[in-house]
Amino acid sequence: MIRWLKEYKVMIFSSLLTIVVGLIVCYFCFSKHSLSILKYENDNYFFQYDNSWSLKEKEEMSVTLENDSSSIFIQMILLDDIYQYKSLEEMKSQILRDLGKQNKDYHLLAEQFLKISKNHYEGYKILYEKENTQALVIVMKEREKLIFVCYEANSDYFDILIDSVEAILENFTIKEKIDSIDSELNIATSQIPWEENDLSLSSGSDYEMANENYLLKYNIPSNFQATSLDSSHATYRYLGLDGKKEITMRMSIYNTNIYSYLTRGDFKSVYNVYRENPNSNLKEYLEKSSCSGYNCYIYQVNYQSLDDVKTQSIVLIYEIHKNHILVVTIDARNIVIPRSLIDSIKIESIRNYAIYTNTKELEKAWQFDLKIFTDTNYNNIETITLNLPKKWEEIASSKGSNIYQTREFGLDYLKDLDYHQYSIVYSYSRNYYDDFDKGLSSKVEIVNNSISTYSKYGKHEKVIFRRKINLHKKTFYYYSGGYTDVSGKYVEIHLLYVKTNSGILEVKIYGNDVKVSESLFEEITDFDIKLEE
Amino acid sequence: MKKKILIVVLFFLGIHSIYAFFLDKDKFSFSDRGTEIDLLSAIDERYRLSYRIENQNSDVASKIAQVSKNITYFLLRRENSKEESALDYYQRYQKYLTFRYAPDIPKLNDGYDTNSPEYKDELVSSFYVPNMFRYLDELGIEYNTISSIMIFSSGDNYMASVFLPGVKMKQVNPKNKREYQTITTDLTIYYVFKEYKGEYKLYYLKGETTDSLSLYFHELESKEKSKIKTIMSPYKEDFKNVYNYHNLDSITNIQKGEIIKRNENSVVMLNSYYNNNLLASAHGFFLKKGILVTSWNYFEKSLNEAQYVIIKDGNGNFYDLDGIVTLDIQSDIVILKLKQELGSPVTLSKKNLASEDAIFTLSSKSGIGFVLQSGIHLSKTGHYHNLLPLLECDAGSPLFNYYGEVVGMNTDISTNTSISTAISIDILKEVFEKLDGVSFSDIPSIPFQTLKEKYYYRNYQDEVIKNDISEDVWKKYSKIGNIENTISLQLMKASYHNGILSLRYQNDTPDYIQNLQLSNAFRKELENSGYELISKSEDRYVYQNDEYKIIIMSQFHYLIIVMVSL
Repeated sequence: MIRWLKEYKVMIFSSLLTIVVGLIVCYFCFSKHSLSILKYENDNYFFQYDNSWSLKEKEEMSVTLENDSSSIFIQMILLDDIYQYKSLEEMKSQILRDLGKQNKDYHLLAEQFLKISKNHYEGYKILYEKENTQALVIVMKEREKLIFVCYEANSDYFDILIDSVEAILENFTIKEKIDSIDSELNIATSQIPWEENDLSLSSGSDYEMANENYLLKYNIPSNFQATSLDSSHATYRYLGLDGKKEITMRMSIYNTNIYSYLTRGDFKSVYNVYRENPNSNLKEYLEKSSCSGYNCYIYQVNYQSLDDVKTQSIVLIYEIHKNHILVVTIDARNIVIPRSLIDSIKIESIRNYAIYTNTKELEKAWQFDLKIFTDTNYNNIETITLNLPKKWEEIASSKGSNIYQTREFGLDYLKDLDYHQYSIVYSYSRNYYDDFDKGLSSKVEIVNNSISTYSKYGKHEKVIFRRKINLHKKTFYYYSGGYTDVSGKYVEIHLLYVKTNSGILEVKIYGNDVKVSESLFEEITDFDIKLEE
Repeated sequence: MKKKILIVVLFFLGIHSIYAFFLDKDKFSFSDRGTEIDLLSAIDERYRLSYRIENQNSDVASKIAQVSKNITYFLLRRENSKEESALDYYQRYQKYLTFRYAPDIPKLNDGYDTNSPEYKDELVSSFYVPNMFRYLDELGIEYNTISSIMIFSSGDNYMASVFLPGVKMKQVNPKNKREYQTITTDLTIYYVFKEYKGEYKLYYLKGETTDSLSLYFHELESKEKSKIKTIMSPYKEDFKNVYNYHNLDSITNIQKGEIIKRNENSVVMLNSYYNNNLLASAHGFFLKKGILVTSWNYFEKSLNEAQYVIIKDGNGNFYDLDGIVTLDIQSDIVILKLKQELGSPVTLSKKNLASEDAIFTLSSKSGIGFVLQSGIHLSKTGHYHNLLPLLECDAGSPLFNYYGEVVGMNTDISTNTSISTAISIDILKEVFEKLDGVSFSDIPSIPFQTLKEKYYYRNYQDEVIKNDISEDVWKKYSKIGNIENTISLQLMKASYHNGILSLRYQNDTPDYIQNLQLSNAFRKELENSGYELISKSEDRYVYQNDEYKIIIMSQFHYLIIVMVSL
């Protein structure tokens, strides 16, 4: 037996080895163990790796992942002061020199700058080869930290495992010490005791309103009639109420966060005068709700007004964007505001523009409308449609103002001095006086009052009437003057006024340290007037 | 699973490689623990430089860097690709406001003292700090990482410039000003801090994109004319709110012309070439006749990648490089010797710069002519920090004071931003002292090629081509995606182990043809034969059917295909 064993020992040993290898292979292949994802984290960085790698933590700031055919060595280096501000491209020469110095037997095959990991670190990859071994060095930089990852394997297995290495890199994160946001917010709310009434709410009318960069399209019952044409605010009154009943509505968009607005509490403090007077019987509620599909807060306040009228006000604050709100204020005298009125206000759309204006682009000109109500009953609108050559550009600061009534354009911008050499301001308003002359002199007086404030800075000349000028078959009244402004430059001011059916269009032309030629007037006064009922 | 089989088999077959690629942190010259010995040992001992740039107050700098990081995270959000709720926005804003500088304003009988500096500071911080938050938020900025934070002090203020590369942000579409367009740009945010009760509080901030500066640089380039030196007006932008430009504004163009006249023969341009392709550019100036100073960063790049350097001045004169006299890596300077004793030396200033002093530099952006740029000096905390935007090619150019004397040398540490850095004159003085009294012919130098071959020679060899796949295996796998016909690139590496086959092809086509593009026909064939695309990213596709998983990857100039039998 022993002899037999001795005789066949090689064969027996080989068979046993084969069985053992087979059993181990079977265990690995058919066991229920699947590839699991592990996480490594130290004070400086963390990453994920699968369990085909075994991890050995080395000295401070470095770690090694190994399997039998390859290794990954990860090391963090803190950079000397001056290198913190350099990019990896700027450090490339030194990196290659220092790596080359340490690894003289390796030759360089390829290099590449790229973003590494889901965190998009600035990265540099270098591929080295030595006989049958390849080494991939990945360098990541974030400020004062430089991470070296070196994946090295026999050339036969290098490409097979590279996908696993890329997976480790993808999740690699250099840790940051950041303050947490820990502020708390408590806004006390309560249920509003709504009262219904038989207020008629007919099918809606569409309107639009914009602050500088948010255009809001909305719909309100057509019982409400617009009483102002301000494009960034709107006011309405309810038509057809009996006796002393009255409902008015104001709408505004603000570039503010809803919680900043709520915590500031201005919408509440306007009622302080009633809150402080016990005879007002003020009762108030703040309800969190949903209005036309948007988060909103509804503030209801009930009080006896100073003229002893039972009054109810509602302030609706819509969260239309994280930093934009729509505020609707409804005031009702001798009548309550039903919830159905709140529900009848529909937000149709909100759109974010770089800057919102209603300017249309024609082939050679900008075209825009200016509008006024022609009567105190707000029944008719007169619209002026202006065309202005494209060389003029709209001045951004004016775009947020009431685009129905005022527009400002500039020509020949001086970047260093930050102003246009020429600028025009169009203003369209109703003539509240009996005749055109009175309206005109009131406008000229406003301009001259403004000029007189500059008298301390140097030469100033009040605008005076020069003559009548016919432009585009319309008669304009021409005035001119000027003043020295705070920066010492002389500003020529030229005014053109034209009478429309119900209003006055004022065109102010400024020349900043330049002469304004009358030849300019023709191109800036091309307009049509239209009356809408 | 196949990978596991492979590992086990390899283990028992005793295939163990000893991997030996070294990454010793102490041997990296840029590490805070690293040292540079090799290169300096090549320099003649008599000319080695001892000057060391003093580091800034690291405690204050690290505190301000940490505050700057926090402010940036609250200003621009961390999870900036996700929609933010109104509540998160509000809480982030409240946290951000806790960093605002809000000084105690002295009171008089009838209210606050409106003439006090605190009152004026409050006006600035209460306006800019909240408004910039809203403004930047409106731009919907998405960033990935803070790449660098540079800290410096000026008077009572500390400034941090935080560099965010590859930022995505909205910008007004120039063709339709009502609409936004999304751009990708580098963004630098400058924070100005004031100390308040032992903490550094945010007084002022501004953002600056590379695009906004590129207009200025474009204007500079367009004004350069051959053999004519042009004077440019300073780039002030929004720093007028924080710094006083009075010293600079009082200097006339005639005085600026004098600075040019005094130095026009002292400044040179250095261009490095490889196979007649321009690789890098910088400037330099004459310390002595035939002795130039320039930026070590630039010069090292040339040693690493270029074959030769061409030196010329603004009058069209060319100079031949003899070699390197000395260098200092930390100060970013290298002293070069020319073959001829030519050039007009600059005058070194005896006085250091004070904050808000006017400064000037003479350089060429386009390589055609020279322009004189002007700005103001902010501070010296290790390096000089100046409000003087520079490009990378300005490294090595001289920094002049009002008298046209050299006060420093511009570096490429901070380029394409409003604030640039320069090394102070102190190290130049040391160089000057070492060379003083030594005749030109006695100044030793190491030739460019010698230094290049000794320290920068790259062991380029052709890659080993290796194909271990047996005919049987190839017969089986080559059917997948009809790979023999659908990939027509040179195979560099091919191996097969237990059902996993890997193929590395070399992309020899022009650079603009991406590696993965060359797999189009292969991928189409896979799709046609029923493989499903299970994952796709910029540089990786994964296909699978019941039998195989195919991973197609791009690495360097390689197309790598791994086929795994399931």
